[in-house]
Amino acid sequence: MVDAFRIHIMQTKDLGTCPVRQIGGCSFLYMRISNVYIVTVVSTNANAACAFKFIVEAVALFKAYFGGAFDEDAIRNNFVLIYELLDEIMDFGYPQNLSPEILKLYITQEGVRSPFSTKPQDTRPPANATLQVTGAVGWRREGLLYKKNEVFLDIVESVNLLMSQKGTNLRCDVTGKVLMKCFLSGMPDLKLGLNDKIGLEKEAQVKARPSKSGKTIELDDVTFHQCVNLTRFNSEKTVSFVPPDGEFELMKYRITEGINLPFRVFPSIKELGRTRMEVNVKVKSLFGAKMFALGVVVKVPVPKQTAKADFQVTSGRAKYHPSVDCLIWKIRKFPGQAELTMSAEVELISTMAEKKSWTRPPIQMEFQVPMFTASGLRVRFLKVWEKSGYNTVEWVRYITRAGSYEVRC
Amino acid sequence: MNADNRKGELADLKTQLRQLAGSRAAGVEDVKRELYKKVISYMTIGIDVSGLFSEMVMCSATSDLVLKKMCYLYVGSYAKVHPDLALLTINFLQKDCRDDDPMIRGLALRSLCSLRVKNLVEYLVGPLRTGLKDNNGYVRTVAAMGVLKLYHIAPSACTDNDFPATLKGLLIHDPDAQVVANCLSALQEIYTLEAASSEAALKERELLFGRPVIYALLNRIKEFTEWAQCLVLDVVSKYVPADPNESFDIMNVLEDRLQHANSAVVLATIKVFLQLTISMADVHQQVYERIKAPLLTLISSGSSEQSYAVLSHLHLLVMRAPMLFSSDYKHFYCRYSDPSYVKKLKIEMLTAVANESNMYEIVTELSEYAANVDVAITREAIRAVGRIALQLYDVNAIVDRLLQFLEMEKDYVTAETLVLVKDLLRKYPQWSHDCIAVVGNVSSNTVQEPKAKSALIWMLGEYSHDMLDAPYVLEGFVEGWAEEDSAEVRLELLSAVSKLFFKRPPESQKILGAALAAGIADAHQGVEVAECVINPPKQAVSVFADTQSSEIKDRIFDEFNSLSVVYREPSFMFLDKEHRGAYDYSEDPAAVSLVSAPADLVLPSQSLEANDNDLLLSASEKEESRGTASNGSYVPDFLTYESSSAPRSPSPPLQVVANRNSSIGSAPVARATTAGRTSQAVSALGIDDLLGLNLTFSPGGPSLSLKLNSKPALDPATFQRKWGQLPIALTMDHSFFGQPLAALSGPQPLLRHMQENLIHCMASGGQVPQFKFFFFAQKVESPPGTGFFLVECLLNTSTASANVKIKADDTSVASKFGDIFRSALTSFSLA
Repeated sequence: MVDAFRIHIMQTKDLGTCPVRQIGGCSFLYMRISNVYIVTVVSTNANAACAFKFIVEAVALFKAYFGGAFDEDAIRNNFVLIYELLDEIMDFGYPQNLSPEILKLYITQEGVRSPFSTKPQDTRPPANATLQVTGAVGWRREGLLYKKNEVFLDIVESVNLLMSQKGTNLRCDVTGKVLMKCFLSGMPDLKLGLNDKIGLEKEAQVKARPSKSGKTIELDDVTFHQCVNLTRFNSEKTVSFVPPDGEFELMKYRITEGINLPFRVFPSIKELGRTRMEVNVKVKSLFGAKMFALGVVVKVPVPKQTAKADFQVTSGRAKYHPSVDCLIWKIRKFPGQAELTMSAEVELISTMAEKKSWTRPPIQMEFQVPMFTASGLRVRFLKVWEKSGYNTVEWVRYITRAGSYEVRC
Repeated sequence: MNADNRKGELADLKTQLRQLAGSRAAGVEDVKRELYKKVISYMTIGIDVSGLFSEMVMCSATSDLVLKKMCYLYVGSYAKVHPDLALLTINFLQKDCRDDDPMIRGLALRSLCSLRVKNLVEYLVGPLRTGLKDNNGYVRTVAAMGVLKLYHIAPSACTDNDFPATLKGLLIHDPDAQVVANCLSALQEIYTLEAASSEAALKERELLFGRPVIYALLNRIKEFTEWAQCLVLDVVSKYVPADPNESFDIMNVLEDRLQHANSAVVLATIKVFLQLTISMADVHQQVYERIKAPLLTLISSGSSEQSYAVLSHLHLLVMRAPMLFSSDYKHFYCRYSDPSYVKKLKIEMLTAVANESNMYEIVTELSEYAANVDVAITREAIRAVGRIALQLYDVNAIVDRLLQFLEMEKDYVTAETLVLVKDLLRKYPQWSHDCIAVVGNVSSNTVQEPKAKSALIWMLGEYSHDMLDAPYVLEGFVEGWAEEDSAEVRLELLSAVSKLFFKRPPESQKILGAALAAGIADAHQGVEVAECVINPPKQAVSVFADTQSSEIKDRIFDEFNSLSVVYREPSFMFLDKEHRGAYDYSEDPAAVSLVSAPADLVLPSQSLEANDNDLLLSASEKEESRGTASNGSYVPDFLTYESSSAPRSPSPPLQVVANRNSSIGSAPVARATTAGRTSQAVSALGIDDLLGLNLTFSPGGPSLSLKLNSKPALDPATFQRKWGQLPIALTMDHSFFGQPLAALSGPQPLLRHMQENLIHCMASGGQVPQFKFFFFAQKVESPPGTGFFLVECLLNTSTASANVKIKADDTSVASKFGDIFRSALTSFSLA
């Protein structure tokens, strides 16, 4: 099997042409993560989506165990652990439990004796831990205790944009995630309110008063972590859940309407004869003046035969990177409602070869804008209820990042 | 490490392990663990450490869980190779199955079931039975899977002990959802395998997945893990509700699953919705609307591999109902960073959803891709533009776009575009003026690809009156006759030059003379050349009638959420059961092994190697067949390998069987009515046999009273209609072991051969070793539209067998036609 994969996929040009390949009677479904290939081999008409999802989840699990890294070295150093984990997450080709939360209860790197029986002759019905391994509230164990009860909630959005040369918006969407970090004692019940349309309308009906002025957001599609009570979401339109301990992704959503773009890019690229090019890029920030963006990077592709480039920038630093054939302009801190420009004179090596018209790849942008959401989504409330009635501290953050932010030029 | 060193190292490990075996000193566990790790790491990189078996087992008496696991792993990997030694481990595994710690009980039971040694089965039954009754859920989940493993080693031991019945009980009543899920997996696999051989098991399975079980599963759907939910949903998708109300109830229960974060769950739910509503057209459409949003989310999130799996499914739905997605076209725009396999699917979907209102934007977008760095995508995009142009009426803007491509001055762009412009001109001659002006500027020496050359030459000939320098360009081509390899181009050139002569005689007389002289001197062509000049074959405008029959498409749709959708083939075309049957149970049939490049986690074993051989052989064979698709090379290795691994009893070359045995591809309606006809066919053939007609005869020749029409006319739609209406007149299983047909590497050679026998092909598909063909033929002197024979032929080159179904307008001559067909297959050669 390994050889078949190596010979017929890794050592051919076909690598990367399709992640599902048939060799002999078997299908190979593979993914590359850093320098490691993860391959699922099936001989039946398997569920491809499930197989890929399994790979992704398995890698997440390995990462959780290896402390973040998943590469050749991590595998070499942890092979015993990998065997152990594989044994638990998959039995005879059927996925079992992949929740790091639960697995960490009984697979520990220290290899201590399992938590089940510290006492011999334990014939009582299963203890807590076993229930969690397979039981009803699979994502949270009982008896957690924190001195300080805290919840961290992050709304992380990535904006995907495809803009044409003329500045028309070809395609734009926001995919958002609500990430939580819970350090809460006991079995708390949480309720989250957002300024999304469905939630607000429902509330307006219940309270028989019009919803507060302000923006309401229409979510195209929402998915939730398995802890969210979906029945209650559908009937009462509230997001209520018993959270897992620690970090998890509560919900994901997608929005295509009413997006506030954080940046607009106005490029102008002129080819002056065969050996010179003039690049002018103006970037305008559209978010509030009190906010700022961090780590802004603008990548302007240039032809392969670029010799050098002279820059003028109003802020930040620009440089020509021959390895990626790009002019890269970096601005550490980009204030809101501002306009920055970069202009560059690019010199090209004149080639003897015939004029090959240069396919201009799009300009790409990277950025992070804290306390800004491109969708306008806001948390209205986050209620924590636990039978012991403790107080919780809630922290809410927003951040918008660039997904694939492309402007054609 | 060289061999001597390694030997020394192993001997060293051996003595160390031996010393530790009896020791109870403090810290001994830590030392053992290091040693075990070393052994396992050797095993992982493929060094044979089976020599340490007894020492490893001796050291296995430990309470350290990690040590135990390593030991189980070691035993599991080598038990198959050393069954005698495996017996040594039974004792301690059985003891561990009675441990106080449920974790150890479970692990030991799992290892015991994974030994895969047939003569140890008797030791397995007891622990398995206790395991299924264990008060701990973890042990029961392991035991449920153990039953399935037992079934694969020794089916009778599994059924004789009534394990399936026990699982059925757990399926309904077990409080632990994961136990239920594993019971479900095990039962499903067991009954599916049993059902292949026994009718009773088939009924049993239908009964098992009837209403009570389905409802029980649905009611606890939220208790299952996400993976188990996928499994349950798949079972539910096969359930047929009694009435629409029941369907709605199920959909209401599952509606919220569409919001699940796990993409596999969402897709599985979509399958249930689609299947439940398949016979309710209007609801079915609403389902499409409902599932659109989650699908579109899935394709834009996750890794490209994940979105590829989902996109393949979306692609299927888009192709089924393009109108429903025509307003969502922007979601199919490619990102610059998308891998090409994703881009390709997106471009196809963009093409499918194009309509009057979004066409302009889609074409503009596709034109952007034409400047892509990836040549394959560029071509794909240009073809897409062409396809849209041929489908829609208002093509004004599109023609402009296409012509702009010619100005990009890239050889492959020009080549693709020329072919499309030619097709367009055939459909819309009114555009000739605009097109010709631009085409005239194309420098003929940048055009290299035969297809593009032919297209250019055709246009030069057809529009020579409008193109001033047509004679000179054509003259250039004629001068290059000797260097021109493509027969297609030469033919096109001859006819173009002749057309030119009729339009502009004075200028072209010389060229025509030169071309004709060259043509006559051409060693490769004979009379056909002349025929082609006088009667040029009118190339049809590319037709987009799908090559796949709707029957095939429906089958793929039935297999939604599986590899079929990714491969765009129903599973019978890429799964080869007989092929697999030849191996004894060696690798887990459904096992997923994670393989990483640096550390091979797949355990080596002999039978696995055997399978590797097979993989390599058949795969190399595949590649070869791709390379030489047209001349079909004979691969003797493949055949000998097959014959040694799967001995086959000599069978007569032709068997007529009751068509009950072959259910592939036949519509149920047809099957019901065929019983009588088959017996008729059988008797007819029996008489033929009595008369000793089992000779080879020249196809369609005088020895038979049935003669076939040499140019039957049948369009795909009529074929499909007839195929749906007619009952099966005859089914044959034809074996061609050792005959040239077994080396078939692509459909083409057989098509040509059958055509020589006056049997024409409607559609063909598949790859080594499975092919599928639809043929048709017509009785000579039949009134139009009658006297047709329709054939579905499934060919398997690895088992050297063909399954043939024949339908006929006139069933009385079906068996005669069957003879012709059989002899045509027999006379096939790869010459």
